[in-house]
Amino acid sequence: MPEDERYAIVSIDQKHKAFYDGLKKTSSPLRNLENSQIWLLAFALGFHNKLRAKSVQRAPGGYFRTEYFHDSIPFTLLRAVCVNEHDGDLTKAIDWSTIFSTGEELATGGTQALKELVESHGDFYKKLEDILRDECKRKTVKKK
Amino acid sequence: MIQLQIESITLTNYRQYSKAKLDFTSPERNKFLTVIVGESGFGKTNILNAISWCLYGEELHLTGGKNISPRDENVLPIYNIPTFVKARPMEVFPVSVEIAMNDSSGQKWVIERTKKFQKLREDKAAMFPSGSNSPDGSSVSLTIQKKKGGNYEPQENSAERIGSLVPKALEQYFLFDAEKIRDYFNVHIAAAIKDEVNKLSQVDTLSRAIERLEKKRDDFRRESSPISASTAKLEEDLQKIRDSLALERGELRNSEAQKKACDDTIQMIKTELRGCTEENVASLQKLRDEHDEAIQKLEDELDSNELKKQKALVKYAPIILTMPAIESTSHVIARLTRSGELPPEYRKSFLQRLLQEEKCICGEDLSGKASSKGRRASVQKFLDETDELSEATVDISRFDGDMDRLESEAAAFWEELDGLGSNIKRIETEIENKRIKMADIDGKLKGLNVEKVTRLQDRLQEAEKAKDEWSKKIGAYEGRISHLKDDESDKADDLDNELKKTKRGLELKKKIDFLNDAIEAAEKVRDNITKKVKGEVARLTNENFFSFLSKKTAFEKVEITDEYEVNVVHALGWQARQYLSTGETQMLALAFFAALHKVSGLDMPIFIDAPLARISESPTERIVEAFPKCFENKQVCLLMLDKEFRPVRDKFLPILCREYQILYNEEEEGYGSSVVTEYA
Repeated sequence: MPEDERYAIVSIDQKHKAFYDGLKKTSSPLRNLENSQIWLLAFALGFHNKLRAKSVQRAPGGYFRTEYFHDSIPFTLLRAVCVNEHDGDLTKAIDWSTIFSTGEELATGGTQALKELVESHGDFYKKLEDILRDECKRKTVKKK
Repeated sequence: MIQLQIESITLTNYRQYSKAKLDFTSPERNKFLTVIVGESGFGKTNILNAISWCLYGEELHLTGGKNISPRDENVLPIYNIPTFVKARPMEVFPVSVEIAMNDSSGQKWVIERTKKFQKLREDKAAMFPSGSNSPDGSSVSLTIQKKKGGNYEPQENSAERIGSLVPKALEQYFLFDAEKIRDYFNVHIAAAIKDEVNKLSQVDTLSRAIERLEKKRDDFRRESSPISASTAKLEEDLQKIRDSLALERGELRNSEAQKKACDDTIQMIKTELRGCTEENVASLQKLRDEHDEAIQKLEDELDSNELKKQKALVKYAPIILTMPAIESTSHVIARLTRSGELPPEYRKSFLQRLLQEEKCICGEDLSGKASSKGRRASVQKFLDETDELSEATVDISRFDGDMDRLESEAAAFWEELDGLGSNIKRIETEIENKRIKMADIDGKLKGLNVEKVTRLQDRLQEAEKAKDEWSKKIGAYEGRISHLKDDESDKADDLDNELKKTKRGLELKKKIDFLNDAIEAAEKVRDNITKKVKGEVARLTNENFFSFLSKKTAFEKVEITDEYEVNVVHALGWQARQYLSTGETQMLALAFFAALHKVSGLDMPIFIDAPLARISESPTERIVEAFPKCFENKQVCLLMLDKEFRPVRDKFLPILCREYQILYNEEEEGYGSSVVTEYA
């Protein structure tokens, strides 16, 4: 698989731009995170909450480049989720166009969940930890 | 760079001196020191007054500390009393001070100030001509003459000429009264020193240039208002934000100063508590300090752990939340592998090539003609059943491996998170325990019933509480300033975008941008210069001070703040300037003074009154030894008591060019004259 097929510009919905810009302000709990990290959180929350939505209008200029992922983990997650969202069709794991478009749709859907997490009362990281622990418990119960 | 050498000073009927001439010329370049010795009251300090009176018309070193009005008839007059007594009725006699000097180009100048008096009766003289306390000072003449060829030619605008040769603002840098050292470090003086160093290093010129650029930029900004209603509104909003920012910054500075004051108070009280003679008080206080220090370290550790936890959450949250997709995709790959579909028997591209070439690798014909029809059909069926995945088996295999790794890492994440959580809990518990112990110690200290300790403890708690309050306020101000800066940036962007819409607006924007760049560049240069100058002053002050000190290990360093306040840091980290002995403070003042001189490039002669007063013997010897380095290549004159000079005279010999002694002749009861002779 040629490396350069993984390199793309990922966008967000124009209607969410103000929210994402606001995350960089000094009062935001996510002020020190990179755009790629913030987007991954939105994408993961979108998958977790089964929220998928097409962008009405993509924000011009894009939100980040996939070259800025720190390692290959995000690519692995995006591929696994894309296969899962297409009923286990493994051919989607090599279809980068579909992988990124699916990722963007989940991130668009997950932005509302991220917004609630940031703006609701309480420490953001404590709330995020609670969500992860609940997910882990749910998996454990399911296994039993 | 201002360079000046004084050749001689001649006093005529000035205070104690009916006639005195001091020659400062040096036969050798490396001999730059003149010493004038005299007992208290013989007229040493009046030599400084004579110089300042000649140059500026004011005696700036009177013991009372203020310039006494010449109209005050109740004070000791400026004229020499014996001369006045001997004068006949209505006789006019002058008071004059003449200074002969060379400037940096070797040009010779003579400055003379003369004030005439007329004896009216046995106990009174008045300025002459009479009634001449006139604004134009007609009883006072000030002349400056420049040597041309063999003659001296009078120059016009004497006061301005003198101001350019020897600016009055720099007077305290070359006529230094070491007796007034305590004043030297007060805030007012520090601010004055900062202003002067800025002038000397041309920083104030840059500051003025920056102000002019800012004014021009603001003018252009105001011009943008009439372009459209939108720009006017945006400009107004931007200005409101800037006004709010200025206010908040002012409040922040005030809060920081208040917090620093609380810190100073806390340090002072702790020092006093430590100094308590009650052993148990001192050891309890020490224990309290140890707990306090431990709490600070624990709080740092707590912050570090919380940050690590946040980073782990951000990294692993996407993995944990998408784990169902990872597991299900892994199952798909496992299923296809079990069923033999992965890896596929043949690659699609391989089968396509066979059909294209119409020949199998075994050599059989695959053209589809006659007998090969069936074979071709079989290969075509294989091709139809093979998908794009066949080309990506290596990639899929790697992808599968990556997913396996993520499953393991997710398991390890919980261990890491729980570990960090335990650490955080442990640290919080430790902090709480230490706070309880500190409260217990506070209770014990109070319970000792030592009045002073109780009072100090109360004050310490008040100061710590006040410090916390100021810290909270500082945090709040910093938060508000941060929000306002974000708002300012957003609003400025909006204004820029609005300006870009019209041609005129675009022109103005270009000008404003250009000016902003120029201001930024000038501010950077100014900051660099200020930093360098201050750094050099601090370095030299440190060097000089520690070369003077006997108990070098008691102190760590000398610090100079951005406002030119001088602080001395004890070896254990406390601020100690207020607790220096008088002698140590004098050494610090000398060290700072010498550093300022060197860094400022101010090559003016230096007169120091009582430089070694209050300094004990061994530091005196060290100061004398350090003198040539501190003041190298400068013309220096020291005014000292004989008992201060005699023990160190030999050490000064290598740099000594002239020695004078002031002797006092009491002519009649109540008055006399001072005469200057060679030192014996």
